[in-house]
Amino acid sequence: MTLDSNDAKRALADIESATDKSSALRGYASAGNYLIVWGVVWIVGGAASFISPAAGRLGWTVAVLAGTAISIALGVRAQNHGAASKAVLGKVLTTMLVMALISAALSYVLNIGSMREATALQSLLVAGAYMVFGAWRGARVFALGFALGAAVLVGWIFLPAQFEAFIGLTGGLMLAVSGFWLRRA
Amino acid sequence: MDGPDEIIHQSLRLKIMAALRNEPGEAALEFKRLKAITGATDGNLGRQITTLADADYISVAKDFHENRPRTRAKITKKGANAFDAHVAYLKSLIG
Repeated sequence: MTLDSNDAKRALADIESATDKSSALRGYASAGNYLIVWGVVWIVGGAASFISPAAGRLGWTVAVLAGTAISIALGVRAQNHGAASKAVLGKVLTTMLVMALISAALSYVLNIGSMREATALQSLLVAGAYMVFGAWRGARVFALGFALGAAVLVGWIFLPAQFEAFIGLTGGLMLAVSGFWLRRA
Repeated sequence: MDGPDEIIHQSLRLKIMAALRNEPGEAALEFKRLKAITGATDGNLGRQITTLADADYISVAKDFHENRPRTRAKITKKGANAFDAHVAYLKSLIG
């Protein structure tokens, strides 16, 4: 067998393409579990908000704390089973910390006072984070972020009185369904 | 390396080896994931996997998972070395 430089370029392009697709599918599969967890968090928060504002605050707080703990446990398990490199858990924790800090800083700078505004801000931040992550790692995650952001705007404009419940339930369902879809990748 | 690895260089086998080499810890990949990565038909993918397994470049395990038959392929040390050498050869051709 004799190869020339054009054959080599084509073969290296095939390798790069297969490697990129393999990385994207692996990323989808590992992201699926996290999306399901956070989908449930949003659904619990949304359902609690449907009962009363006080129940909503409590529900969101408990659900977010539980979601954070479960996400950390998933990261540790993936690391122990060799499904993720040691750096992944650190990246997951760093991402969550950065999101929490940006959310807190924006809430302070923008003087956000209501639960509705806080929910919208955090939901848009999450949607933006998925879109940015998706732009680098896979179109499916980008599409999820876009749909989530659109749902926030739809709820904000058309359902102001039930916004927290709407975005919790709608966004939560989107996240959970996407999680099951990605896990099958 | 003196020349190309004729077993690896075939287009579909090259993609299979690239995907398996890309797994952290050289973990096994399911047949359906390899099919999604390569875009190959079941029959063609099965034939190329057999060729790679016959060369001891990959190992193939079949079991049942969630009541469904599952086939998983994993790159061997010999396969990883051969793939790395082939990639080095390809890169040497383009300078």
